[in-house]
Amino acid sequence: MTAPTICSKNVLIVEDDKDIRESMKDALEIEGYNVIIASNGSEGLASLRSTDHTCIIVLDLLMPVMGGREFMDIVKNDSVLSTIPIFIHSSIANKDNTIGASGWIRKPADLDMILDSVKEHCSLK
Amino acid sequence: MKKIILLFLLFSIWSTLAAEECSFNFKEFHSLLDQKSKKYKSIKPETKDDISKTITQEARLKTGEKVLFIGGGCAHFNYSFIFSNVKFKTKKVQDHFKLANDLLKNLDVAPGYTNVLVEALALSLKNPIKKNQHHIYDLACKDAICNLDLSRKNSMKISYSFAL
Repeated sequence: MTAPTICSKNVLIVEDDKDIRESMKDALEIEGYNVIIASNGSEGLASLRSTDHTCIIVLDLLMPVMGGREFMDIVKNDSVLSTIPIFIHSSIANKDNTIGASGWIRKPADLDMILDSVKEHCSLK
Repeated sequence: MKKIILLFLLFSIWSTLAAEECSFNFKEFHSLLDQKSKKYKSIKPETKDDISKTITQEARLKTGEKVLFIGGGCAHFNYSFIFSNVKFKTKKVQDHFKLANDLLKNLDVAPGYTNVLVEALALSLKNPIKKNQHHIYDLACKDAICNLDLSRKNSMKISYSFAL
């Protein structure tokens, strides 16, 4: 009997800006990742709960309906989801509002830096 | 004549650019009301207006009220629930806030979208509500702008707006 294959290349992008969301999605898909997108924290949570094996979440902080900080608090307190690394990509990111994240970068950011962080956590094998 | 053509061309370019500048993805946006919900006595299909970038949808609740959803945006993401045929039992604003909360909780809406308003209403009720001569009350809504409009008879409008 063979062990089930774990798809560890699902990346969730939670970002309210359509252009940033789409450009990140395109860049990650070119690299071979499965990208799931959400336009706010609430949609992000729904996507996260319906997708198995998300290897990283790229998260904006300032978003409508449910912001990134609130999203992160829920994820970090969820026994199933809390192990998923969260990379914060936000214009207001700093060391204080990103506590608990695996990394952060301030907008406007170089896409390569986001790709590097994704590569660090997601295996394409 | 040339001037008119030039003006028309400039307007066309401007409107194209303006349309592309929207941060909000209106194309993929749909009404927040759950079309299949059994909570509604009846629900009309959503109507989408690409010019004003708004979606509207109307439903009739089993409790007798009618709710009109209006949502969309471009540089902002906005949505409102306008309840009509509302029966106000008292004249107390606090009671109207509680009623707004109950009406919102009674809607079947995509997850999260009413929670933010329910929480804002509940938070506003923790402090004394100042009298407002226009009957439009600002709600504590984190990074967004929310308000409860009680200016119309037997009606209330609860709105959310977030700058993208």
